[in-house]
Amino acid sequence: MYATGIDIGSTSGEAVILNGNGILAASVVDTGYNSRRAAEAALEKALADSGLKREQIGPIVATGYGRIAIEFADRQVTEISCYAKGMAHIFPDVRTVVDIGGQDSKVIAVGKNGKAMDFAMNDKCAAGTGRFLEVTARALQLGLSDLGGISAQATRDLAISSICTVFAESEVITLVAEGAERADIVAGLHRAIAKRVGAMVKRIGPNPIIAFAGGVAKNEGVKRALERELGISLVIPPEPQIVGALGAALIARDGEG
Amino acid sequence: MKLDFGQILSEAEARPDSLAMNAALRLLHSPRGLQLARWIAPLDPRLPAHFRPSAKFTLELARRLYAEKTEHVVWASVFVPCELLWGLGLMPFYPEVAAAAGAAIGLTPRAIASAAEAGTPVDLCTYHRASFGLEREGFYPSAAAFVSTSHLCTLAGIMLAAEAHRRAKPFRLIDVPPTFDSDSLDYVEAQLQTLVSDLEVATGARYDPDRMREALRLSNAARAFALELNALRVQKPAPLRGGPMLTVLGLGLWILGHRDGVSHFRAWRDYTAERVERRDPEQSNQKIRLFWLHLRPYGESGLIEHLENDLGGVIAFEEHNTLWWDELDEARPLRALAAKILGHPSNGSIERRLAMILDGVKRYECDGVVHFSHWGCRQAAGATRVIRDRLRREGIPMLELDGDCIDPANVQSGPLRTRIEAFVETLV
Repeated sequence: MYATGIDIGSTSGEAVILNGNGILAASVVDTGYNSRRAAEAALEKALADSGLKREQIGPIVATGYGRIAIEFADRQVTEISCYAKGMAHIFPDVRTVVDIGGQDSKVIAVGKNGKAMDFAMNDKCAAGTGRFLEVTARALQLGLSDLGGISAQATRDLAISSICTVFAESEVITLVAEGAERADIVAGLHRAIAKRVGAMVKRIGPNPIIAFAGGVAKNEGVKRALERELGISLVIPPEPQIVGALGAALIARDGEG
Repeated sequence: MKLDFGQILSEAEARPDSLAMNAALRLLHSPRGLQLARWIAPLDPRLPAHFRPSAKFTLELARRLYAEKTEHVVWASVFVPCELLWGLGLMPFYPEVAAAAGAAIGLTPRAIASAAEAGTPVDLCTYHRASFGLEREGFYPSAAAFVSTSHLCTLAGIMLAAEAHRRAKPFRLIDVPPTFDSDSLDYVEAQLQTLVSDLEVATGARYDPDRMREALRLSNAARAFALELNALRVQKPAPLRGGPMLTVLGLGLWILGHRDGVSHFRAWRDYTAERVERRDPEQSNQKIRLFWLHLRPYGESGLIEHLENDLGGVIAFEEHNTLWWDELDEARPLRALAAKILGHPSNGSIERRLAMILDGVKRYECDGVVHFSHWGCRQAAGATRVIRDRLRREGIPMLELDGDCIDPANVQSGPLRTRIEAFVETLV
C-alpha cells in the first residue's frame, strides 16, 4: 500500500503519496472555501501524477487546519507533528522548524526521531503570517511572488510599526502617499514578520540548524530578513509547501502517534 | 414577577437569541419557579447523587437571593472567605462566580454587549465586564455592602468599589500583604475585626461567636472530605474527569461554612471512592495525565471535552482545587480566616505558586501541565513565563492556552484544538 498524507491549510492544500521511503507523487492545489473538496482535488491530482488508482493507496493521514473536514482519512494528526516528521525526513539534523503559512506561523522543536518536542504558534491574529503579506501586497498592487525580488532592491530601513494586519495595511497606504519606495516598504514588511517569528524561535530555543517551510518560505525577502534576525542561515527544502503532507504520509506509513 | 412559560416561549420565538436570558431572568425573579426548581431538581432521578447537595444549595441560594429578598446580601470578590459572611448570618454573593455560571448557560454574550453599551472598556477582564452587564440586565441581587481583598485580582476591588459608589453602599477593602508572618496575620486579623463591625452597621447583623464558630466547624468538616477526595484522585487511572471539577470548583468558594458544603464534599468523596473501588474511572481512555492551571472556558468551546473524550488526556488535578489552608481554628475564627487569606499560593512570592504546582505534578504523577490564560487576568497569566521555565528545568512539558473563560467570542476553538492536540501528540 502507498501511504498518503494530505495537508489542508487556509491557502493551499497538498497531497503526498509515498513509495516506501521516497515520494511517488505530490500535488499542490488552492484550498478555496471547501476543505473537503480541496482534499479530494489534491489527492486526485497526486493520484493522476502517480498513475495509481484510489483503491491502491492507504492508509491516509490528514493534517492542517482543514484536517477535521477530511472524513475519508484514516487519522487526523496536527500539522505540528507532521511538519516535524516531514522536515526531519528531509534534513535529519534539523532541530527547529519554522513554518509560516497562510493564517498562522509556528516554530517547532524537533527530537532526534522527528517527533515534535515543543512548539509555539501565532494564530490569534494574521500578523506574522502569509495573510499579512497578501493584504499588504494588495495595497501595493503587487503579486505575492513579486515581493521577494522587489525587497532585494530596498535602499533604506523603513519600519512598519503596526503588528496588526489591518493597521499595517493603512500604514502601507500612508507610506505610499508619503512617497516611500515600494521596495523599502516591502523590505520593512519582511522585517516585521521576521521580528515576530524570530521572537517565537527564541522562545522555543534556537538551534544551529533551522529549517524554514510553508508557502512563505518561497519568499526570498522573508528568508533574508529572518536570517538576519536570527543571525544564521536557514535551510529550505526544494518544495517547502509539501513538508506537512510528507510528514503526514510518513506517520501514515509508520503508524505512529 | 410571575413565571409564564407561554410568554417566555412567545418572546423566544420573536427573539431567539434572548431565550436563555429571558428564561433565566424570569426564573430568578419568580418565587414559584424557584420553589418548584428547589424541590424538583434535587429529586430528579436523572441527577446523580453527588450533584444533589450542590443543586439544593444553588437553588436555595437563588431563592433567598432573588425570590425572598429578606436577607442582607454582601457582594464579595472571590478571595474573601465565605465562612466570614455565613458566620455573620449574611448572604455572600460572588459576582465572578455568578459570571462563570452565566457563561455556562449562555448569558454572557448579551451581558458583555450590555456592558459595552454602557462604555465599559473592552480590555478589562470579562469576568468583571460580564458581571457589570449581568447587573445591568437585572440578574444580580441588591446588596447591603461590598467587600474585596487587595491581593491577586486588583480589578475586582475596583469594580466592586465602583458598584458600591453607584448604589451609595459601603465598600471595604481588606489589604493583604504579600508576606505570611505574625505581623501580617495581626494586620489582616485587625482588618477583619473592623470589617465585622462595619458590616454590623451596614446590615444590622450582629456578631454571634457561636454562629461564627459553627461556620468554621462546617468549613473544617467540608475540608476534611475535600482532602479525602483529593487523596483519592491520586489513583491511576484517574477516577474523575477534570472538566467537571473545573466547573464545580466555583461552588467551593461559596459553599464552605454552609451546612450544604459538608454534604457536597461528602457526596463527591463517596462517589469518587466508589469509582476507585470498582476500578471504574469516569474516563476509560487515559493516555496522559495533566495538571491544569488556572481556569477553563465555561461556555461551549468543547476544548476540555475534546481533550478528555477524544484525545485520551485526563486532567488528573486542578490548581484551584488545591486546599492550601490548614484546619481553621474555631477558637480564633478571624485569625484563622486571616491565615486562609494570606496563605493563598498565588499571594506573594511566585515561589509559593511554583511549589504548589510542582507538588501537584508530583503527587498526581502528571505527564504535563496546561495553563489556560484567561484574557485580562494578569494575576495568573503574568507568571506563565516563570512557571514554564521552571517546569522546563524539571523536565515537565507545559502548554499555554490563551482564551477566555467567560466570552465565547474570544475563544478560538480551532487554534485551541490544534494546540491541545499537538501537545498530546508530543506527550504520547
